[in-house]
Amino acid sequence: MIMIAQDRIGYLGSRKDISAWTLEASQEQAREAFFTAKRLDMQRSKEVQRQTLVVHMDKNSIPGMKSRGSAQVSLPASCSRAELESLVDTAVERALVSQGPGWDLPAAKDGKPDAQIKVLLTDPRDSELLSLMNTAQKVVFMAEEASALSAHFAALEFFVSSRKHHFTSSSGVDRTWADILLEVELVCHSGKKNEEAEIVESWSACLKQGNADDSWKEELKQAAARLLKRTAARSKALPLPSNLNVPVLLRGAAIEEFFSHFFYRSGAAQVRMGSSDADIGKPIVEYELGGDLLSFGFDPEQAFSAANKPVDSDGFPLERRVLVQDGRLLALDGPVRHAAALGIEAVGDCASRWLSPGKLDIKELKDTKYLEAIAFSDFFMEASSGDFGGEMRLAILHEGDTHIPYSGGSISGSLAGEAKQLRFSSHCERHDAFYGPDAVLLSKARITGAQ
Amino acid sequence: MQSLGKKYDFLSILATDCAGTNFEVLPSERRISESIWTERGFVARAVRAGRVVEHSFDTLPAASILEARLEALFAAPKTEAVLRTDLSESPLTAEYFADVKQDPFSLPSSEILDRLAAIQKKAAEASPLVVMARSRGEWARFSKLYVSKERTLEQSFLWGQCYIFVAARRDGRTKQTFHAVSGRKGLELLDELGQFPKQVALDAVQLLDAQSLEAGEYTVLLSPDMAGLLAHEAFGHGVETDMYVKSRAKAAHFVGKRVGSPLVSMYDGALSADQNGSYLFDDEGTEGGSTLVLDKGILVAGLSDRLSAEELKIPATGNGRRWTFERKAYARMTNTFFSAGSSSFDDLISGIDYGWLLDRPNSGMEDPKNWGIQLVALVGREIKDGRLTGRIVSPVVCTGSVPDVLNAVDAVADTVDLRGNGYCGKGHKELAKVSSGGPWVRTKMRLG
Repeated sequence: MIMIAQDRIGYLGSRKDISAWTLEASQEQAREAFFTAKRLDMQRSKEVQRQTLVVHMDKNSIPGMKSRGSAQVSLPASCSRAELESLVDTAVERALVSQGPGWDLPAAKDGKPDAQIKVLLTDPRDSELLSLMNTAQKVVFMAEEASALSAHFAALEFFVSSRKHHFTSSSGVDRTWADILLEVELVCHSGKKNEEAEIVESWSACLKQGNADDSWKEELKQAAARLLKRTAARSKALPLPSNLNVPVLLRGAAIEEFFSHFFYRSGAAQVRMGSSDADIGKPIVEYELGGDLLSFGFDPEQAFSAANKPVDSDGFPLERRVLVQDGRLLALDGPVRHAAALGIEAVGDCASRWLSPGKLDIKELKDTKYLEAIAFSDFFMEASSGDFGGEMRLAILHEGDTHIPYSGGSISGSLAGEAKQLRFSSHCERHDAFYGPDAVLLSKARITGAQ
Repeated sequence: MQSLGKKYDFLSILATDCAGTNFEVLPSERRISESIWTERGFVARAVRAGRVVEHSFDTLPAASILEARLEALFAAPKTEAVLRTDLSESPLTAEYFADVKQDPFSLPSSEILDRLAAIQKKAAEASPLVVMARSRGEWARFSKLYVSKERTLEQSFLWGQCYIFVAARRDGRTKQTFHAVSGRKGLELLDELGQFPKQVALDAVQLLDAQSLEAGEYTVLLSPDMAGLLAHEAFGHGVETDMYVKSRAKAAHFVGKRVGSPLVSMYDGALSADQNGSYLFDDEGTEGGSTLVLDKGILVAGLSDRLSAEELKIPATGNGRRWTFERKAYARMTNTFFSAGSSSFDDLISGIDYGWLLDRPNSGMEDPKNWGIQLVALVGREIKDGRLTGRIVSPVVCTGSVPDVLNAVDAVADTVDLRGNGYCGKGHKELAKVSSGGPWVRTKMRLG
């Protein structure tokens, strides 16, 4: 499966004025369906290709010190040979005036081109994509029919894409891979007509071609059922009272964002540019971390993650990595040039993140009064400072056997304030490209009521 | 069009050829990369017996292949479908080609990087507490052609956006802030940005002293940027009429009713302002317009794409926009803003016994169905007895019920300022370039 036309690779190889180059291509065939309740609003399909060329030009402007300038351009599927040459000339001109550290592209093993991975190989037929999408639709509609709750899906969007990827570089790396990305946007309503409560969630799974693992169906079914339940709860929610001073149990999609402060601090780009002062071998943050120990990294083969890939955009071969172990920084991730500039070992750049479970069993909280923050408008973490906050669309105040749903109001706080007693759940779940604890206990978060 | 036009009740093709470039100066690095708005391709929309289908592609196929793709979409599945009875267009041929004063693509890239480097250097040297300064300029040219049986429309224009970002650190605490400029302008944006690097650096240093806020409801003075974010999230997303047809917008039941103070009027439209959300025609071949959304606190009209307008039997307002040719068109905002009032800034601040001036919007999120709102300001400045005290808080999460916030507006300044940096998402996807803004606005919100 070689997607990049050989004449393009041949042309780049013939440009002896270029110090190095990478060319990433993807080819996508997709089906999309849009529903208003159960009525099909529109069907779409697409067939597109993307090719991104990065040209690197080495310079010795200071004797004995190599520097490298880089520039990126897209090569449209429809571009002619003359346009290709013009676009490459543009990239060369821009790379010459760019400026960065001296570094080298990762080389193929043994200096020889990688063997082609034998991925499947025929393009999936349109009918196969349609069949997959119909299956996803059935799973969601059946979850709605099986629910005894007075909640329903007001709108649904389904996207199924067969994607083929090809990476090749002047240093001999040549990799191909393929997957199928399934994405669903679920808009759920519950309550009295014209006054319904709404919660919106998205769900995605990236399936390996030829892999028979269909556990995604159960995952989607559970996601749909959970959303119906949450929306039904929001329809009965009261405005969050003021002066509430209880621990907050953060749930759901906000958790990845919550930990993004640590991910940011362990980025080679942030350390090199100065916006993170993390240091390999030392704690990931200056303030004391307590509670559950923090360990995280990335895994380019994480189940169902759309960010999985065998090489990063420099051609660096990716494998599971631990970036922080028990709160201590072991490695910085990101593009190779940053690692080169910092004089550290490169580990590559991959967005399939994992975070180790903690020891918190939510049953432990049975006798505690706490606010379970389930759905946010848009939970945000200011990655550089660790300050966070967000408006809650659904929160449940638990006290013994009493569980009261609330809506409105917000939480805010800082990681530095939470760090000494940060606890997260022993149970993990996946949200798109993130796999980690499904609950984080915040003991110092400020709660702003809606009354 | 000639081959396939007769086979469908309606057929249109939108062709896009958009190219943009990012120039960026970071510590020890100068980079040039492609704008995320770069795209080249086509989308065909066909209608038969009320059913609408679309196919996106990036190389022009033979008519028979395109027909096969469209027929495959009409073929399945057999399910209850939304039917559109009338998507006819009035005849129109129009074109629009706009230039900027200083075309960024006519100059050597090195000159742009040098100018950005001078701005970055000023910020980096403004204080020993500055640990990172970064300057960035992005310009993109949008060229689009829309063809249907009745219409041939063509447009090509350019917009730009430039930023300075600064991070400062003291005692292990790092805070960042930024300044942004935008518009349908070329390198003249760098002249505008060049006035701010030192101030942005000093603002970042000042944020190191920011405290946390005691949660509660306060009188707030929203900067034009924050007022724009409020307009955008409140009755921008809230009146996108594709949300009406999905029963996703409470506003559908409030047309003609009061939803805000008589001081609140609000517009959206590609022609309402000359900013980054301006164009001649939208991605469905409808002419851009100017929509009065709120008239002295009364909800007047929504923002429509063609399909929802047809279903609701209301005029399409030229707000049908796609992230790229690969995506579906939705009802989206363009240039969204509160219109001017009659007060001065001094009138607004002097009338506050205790409250907060909020500036530097970080993010916002709409809740069109339930009229909640979230705005995040990077900076809150304390106001006491009509004056700034110098105390600052950061970040500030602002929440409230949309009609409560708009009904609480008791003063609006007399000058409108719009900005078109960043992008707008519909929920968490479907990016669109928009601008938003307004005058200084005084109201009440819950802060935390």
